[in-house]
This record gives sequence, structure tokens and C-alpha cells, in this order.
Amino acid sequence: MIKFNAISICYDKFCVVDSFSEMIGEGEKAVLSGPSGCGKSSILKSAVGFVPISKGSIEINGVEVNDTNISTIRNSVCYIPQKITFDPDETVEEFILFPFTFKSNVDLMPAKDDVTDLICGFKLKPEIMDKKMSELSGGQAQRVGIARGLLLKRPVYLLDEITSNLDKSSMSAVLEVFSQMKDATVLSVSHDKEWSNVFEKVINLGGD
Amino acid sequence: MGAPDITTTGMLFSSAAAIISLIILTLFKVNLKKEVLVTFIRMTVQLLLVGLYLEVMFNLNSPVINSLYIIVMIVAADYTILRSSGFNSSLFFYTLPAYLISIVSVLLFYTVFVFRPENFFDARYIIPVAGMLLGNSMTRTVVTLERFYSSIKRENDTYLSYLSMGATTKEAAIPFFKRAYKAGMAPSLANYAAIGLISLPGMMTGQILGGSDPMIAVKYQLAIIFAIFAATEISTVLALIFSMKKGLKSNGMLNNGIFKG
Repeated sequence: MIKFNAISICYDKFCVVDSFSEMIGEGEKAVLSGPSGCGKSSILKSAVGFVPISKGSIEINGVEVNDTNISTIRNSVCYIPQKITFDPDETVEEFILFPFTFKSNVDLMPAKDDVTDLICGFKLKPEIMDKKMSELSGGQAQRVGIARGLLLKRPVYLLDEITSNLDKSSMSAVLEVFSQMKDATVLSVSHDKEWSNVFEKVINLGGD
Repeated sequence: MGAPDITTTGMLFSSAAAIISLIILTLFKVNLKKEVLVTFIRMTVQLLLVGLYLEVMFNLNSPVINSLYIIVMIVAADYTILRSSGFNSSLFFYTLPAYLISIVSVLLFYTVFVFRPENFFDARYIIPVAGMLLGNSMTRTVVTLERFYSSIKRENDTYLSYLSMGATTKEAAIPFFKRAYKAGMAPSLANYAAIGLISLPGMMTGQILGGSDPMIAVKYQLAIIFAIFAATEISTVLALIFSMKKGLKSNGMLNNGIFKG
């Protein structure tokens, strides 16, 4: 469950988000839409503490997002950015398994078969695991990044235009996976109509 | 055996280098004559002052003054290094312990176990050695610190993605730490690899010119290189670790307040 209680996000004196309130229930799938610059990404980032809020509060599964609780929050959420970035020297396997070296994720280390299955589900070949991340195309790297996030099996996913660089079929595959996750709460920022068509809730910011 | 003194006429001849570069700059109409002249004069005055100062220090040879002098050198180095880098002085008290620990510990180790002068605090040993350790550590540390923080800033999405996947601040910073450390070490390794083949280090050359046996000069040079290596590694790693307390906030975010305005 994600709850935004009248949050405002301001940069200097300009407020990009003013008194935004919304609740996304447990297991619900919602899309944040609206014109560029209306604060969609800022709202998403504020839920993981990357953007400070100047007013209001945010709760994720009943825990308030603040500096004291930030590690609890980040262990229950997975934020996936629009563009996956990586260390050019690392292989796909190293890239995928790196978050599982974190103390909080060690117990979640996925089995090799689970990784391969997920990779194949995103229309990627298993041999890709030995390649360097820098050798992948933008779309391939993005799909690998999304797969990595999914392996963390978080109860809450925050997706920041994750399919904007993908072709139609790859986007459908990604959308399919997220819509099938019955228990996970998903809040996605996207301009693609497909997300709005598949997800049950559409939150329109500053639009018609 | 001391080196024969260079006469005043000899020193005048040695400054001919400046005249050669001035002629070249004039021939090619490169507008740098004033800068070259000022740099040569400034360096000469600075070195003469250091010479006079060191003569006084060597004559006094007081353990307290020598130790104080080294501490002043470290404090000045920390201040200078931050001022000349992309950081403001807010990191001063976080990087200072890194230099103090590395220089003092390496100096003690090498003085006790390697150089073993009759007088433990002999200014003739500890001041030049401390200077060499500090000079090298400073350069390397600033390069590594700048690389570390600028890559977190530049690749902020990667850093944030680690945090968002449950990494602690340290865990999220480790890949950047490793890359910065590697990048900082590469030029030093290249320099060391060239020693003896392409270049002869200044200290060793100075000792040979001063009349030392080449093998003794080589031994001293090797010991100094190992000492520099140790001091540099310790100060770089500690400066990175200590600076993170200020450079990265409690919620893991980069503290932009450490950079120059």
C-alpha cells in the first residue's frame, strides 16, 4: 500500500507538486500520467527518499518515509529508473547478482534457473549472462535491469517510464509480467497508453 | 661524503634553462614568457627560503619542533589539497585524520625499522621523508576523492538504484570506491614501472651526485618508494572512508554542500 498525504515537492521557490494525495491499495496496479514536468517522477522518487518533500507525508505499507525509516522502506520497495545505468566492465550476471550481495538481500539470492527463466521471458537469450553490460543494446540493458528488480521480489514496485526505450513486443512482455504479479503493489509513470489500458487505476496529474 | 658545493657562477649557468625556454617561446610567439619567468623566480625564492629554514631546523634538531613542523606540513597540505580541488573546506576535518594517521604511522615504521637513524627524530631524515610521503599522498588522494564524488554525481541514477534496492550507503558506494581507487592508482603504477628503465628518480640521482654509492642510493630509493606507496594507499583509503561521513548524507544521498560553490 502506498499513501501520499497532501505532499508538496518544491525546488527553490517553485513547487512542482502541490498537495498531492492518493492511495494505491495493496496489490493494486496504478499509472501516474500527465504532461512532462508535472512532477510524476518526483512523486515516485519522493517515495524512496530521493527527492525531499516540503509538506505532507508518504507511507508505504504503513511505514512513513523519512530518514529514520529509510532503510526499512528501501528494503520493501524497488524503484526502477527510466534508463538503466551500469559499470561498463561488469557482466550481465554480475550486474544482476550485485544487489544480492547487499546484507539485506543475501537471503534472496535467486537460483540460476530462476534468473534464466526470467531473462528468457523478456525475450533475451541465456547466453547474454556472460556478456558485458556495455555490449548490450539500450533495450536489452533495460530489460536486464527490469529483470534484476523483479528478482528482488519486493511487495512494492515504483517504475519510472521503464518501457519508454523498448519496442512494442518487449514492452508488452514487461507489462505482462507486472500485471501478473497479483500481490505486488505497482505504481508506474508512463506515457504509453498500453499501461493505462492494462493497469486498473490511472492517476492523472494536471491533465484533463 | 657531502656533495661539492655549486658556485654562484655555476648556479647562474644552471639558470640558462630559463633563457632557453624564453628563446623558444619568443621564436614561436607563445605568450607565456611572463608566466615562465615568474614561475622560475618564485620557485628559486621558495627553495632558497626552504634551504635557509631547513638549515635552522637541522641545527636545532629538536624532537618537539620537528614533530610540530610535520604536523604543520600535514595541516597545510590538507588545506591546500581541498582548496585546489573541486571541494570546499567542509571536508577538512574528515580528511585531516587520514593524512595524520598515514604519514605518522608510515614515518614511524620506516624510521624505526628501515632507516634507523641514531637520533630517532633526526630532522635530516624525518622532515624530507615526511615531505615526500605527504606530497605523493596529497596528489593521489585528491584525484581519488574527486573521481569518487564526481562519479557518484555523474552516475547518480546507478548509485540511487543501489540504494533503492536495499543497499546501505557503504554498499552503494563500494563500486564507485573501487573504480576511483583503481583510477587513482593507475598513474602511480605506470610511474613506478618506468623507474630504472625510462626515468631515474630525483632522490636517487641527488644521492649519487652527492657522492653516495649507487647501490646504497638504490636501496634508499626503493625504501622511499615502498614508504610512499604505503602512505598513499593508507591516506587515500582513509580519506575516502572518513569523507563519506560528510559527503554522503544519512539517507544515502550525495551532499552537494561539499563541492565548491
